[in-house]
Amino acid sequence: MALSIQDASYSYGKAVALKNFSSCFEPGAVTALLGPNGAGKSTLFKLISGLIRRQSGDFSLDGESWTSHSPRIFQKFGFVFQEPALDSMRSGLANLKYAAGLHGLDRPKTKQRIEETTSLMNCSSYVHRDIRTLSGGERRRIEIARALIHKPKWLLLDEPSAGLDINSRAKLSLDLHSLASNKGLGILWCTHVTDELCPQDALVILINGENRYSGSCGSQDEMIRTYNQMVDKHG
Amino acid sequence: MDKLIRPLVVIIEREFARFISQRTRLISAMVRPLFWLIVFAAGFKSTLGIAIQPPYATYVTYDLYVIPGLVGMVCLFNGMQSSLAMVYDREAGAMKVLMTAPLSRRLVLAYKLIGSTLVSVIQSYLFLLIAIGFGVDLPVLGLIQALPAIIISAYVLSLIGLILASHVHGLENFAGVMNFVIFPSFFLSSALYPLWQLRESSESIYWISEMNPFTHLIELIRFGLHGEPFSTNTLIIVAIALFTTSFIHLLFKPDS
Repeated sequence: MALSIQDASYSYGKAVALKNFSSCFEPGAVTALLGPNGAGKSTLFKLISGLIRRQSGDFSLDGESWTSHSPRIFQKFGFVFQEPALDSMRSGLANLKYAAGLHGLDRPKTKQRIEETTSLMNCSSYVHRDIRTLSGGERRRIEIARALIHKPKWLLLDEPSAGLDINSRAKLSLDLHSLASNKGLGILWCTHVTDELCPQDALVILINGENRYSGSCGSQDEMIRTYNQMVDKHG
Repeated sequence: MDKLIRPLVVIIEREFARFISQRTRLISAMVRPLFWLIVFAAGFKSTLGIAIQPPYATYVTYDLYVIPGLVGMVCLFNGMQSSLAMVYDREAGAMKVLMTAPLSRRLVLAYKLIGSTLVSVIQSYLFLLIAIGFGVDLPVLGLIQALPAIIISAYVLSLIGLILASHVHGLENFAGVMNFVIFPSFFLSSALYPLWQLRESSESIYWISEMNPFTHLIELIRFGLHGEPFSTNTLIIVAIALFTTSFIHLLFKPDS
């Protein structure tokens, strides 16, 4: 179930955020959308999630195009936003139940999926606690569990490790990569740091709103070198 | 069917959970109209009677007159607070979960409205029961007959709140809007005094109050409480509310 974006452009007034961006993301693997701050990663993420209105471009999933908000297509996506998007007045469990309900899961299915996703994200032990009492890393894990609650085909992450310490980032990266390899989930991972990626990840480098590199690197060093070269050349 | 019903259930659950967990909101929702009833209406009860006018068959005491206005106040405040919660959700990021759910935006907003309406209706009846406890002579049958009017009023006021929420950015701005909406709506209406009395003082204020939708909602509740649950007005308000609901998603821009 490939996710394809063709000729997507977006401007905030006169400021161009995306310029004829095209790429095809393959399912069942991690694709890193790498770029410095202000490269247009979050704009692309918001366009896919329908949080901003499209100005141009064609978005399709497995050949099926969708408009800015398509309930049927959105059933296949799980989103994790850059800024925390949990209801801080409720528990992690309540947040998960809410998301499951929005996706139309009945109570038994909700219970089962909560057990599965919290186990996958290693957050079962604190899911009952109030969001306000959780650390940044714990909240992130609950957000990812929430994004997985309806068994999406694609998980879209906008800088999920922002604000996390090195250990939490490494653990999160490990868990997300194992999700892609064990569950066949497609992951589109917007980030500006390379150390949380794996050498086998597909790489799309976005600089000043343009796709400057698509491919994969054999090693972490090669990935860093490629990224730095692109930033030096086009940044 | 679950795809349509379960989202409605969880959105309503969340509205109630939020209402119950915010104790100050729960208490102030009751204290505010009770303050008017116990202090304001009690002070005027002995000096003010309301002359015979529909729907009343005889002179009525001021506390009985003011009840529909206070029910309207309950719905008005809750409608605005639900919208305030929506602005908060937007700022806190929780709104994104709703906006990326596999539901049409129209349905999401309609569900939010239903949730907010139910909370308003429950608050209204809680207030009416407390008012009876304080000795207001409300007709028992009227409590049942007023239900459609209270539902419609609560829905319309939630709808107005939602329209405001779609245009207001930032919690601090919403507080200003509340002052510019709640107080004029309430005072320039038939909530506290009959409009004919206003007309004797000022023709222009009378006409402003006459055109205030809140006046018509209060009159719906008043007639409902006194045995006339439906009128032509009811149909017009329902039609306008449903028409507006079908377009509200256009006001609620995803980029906002």
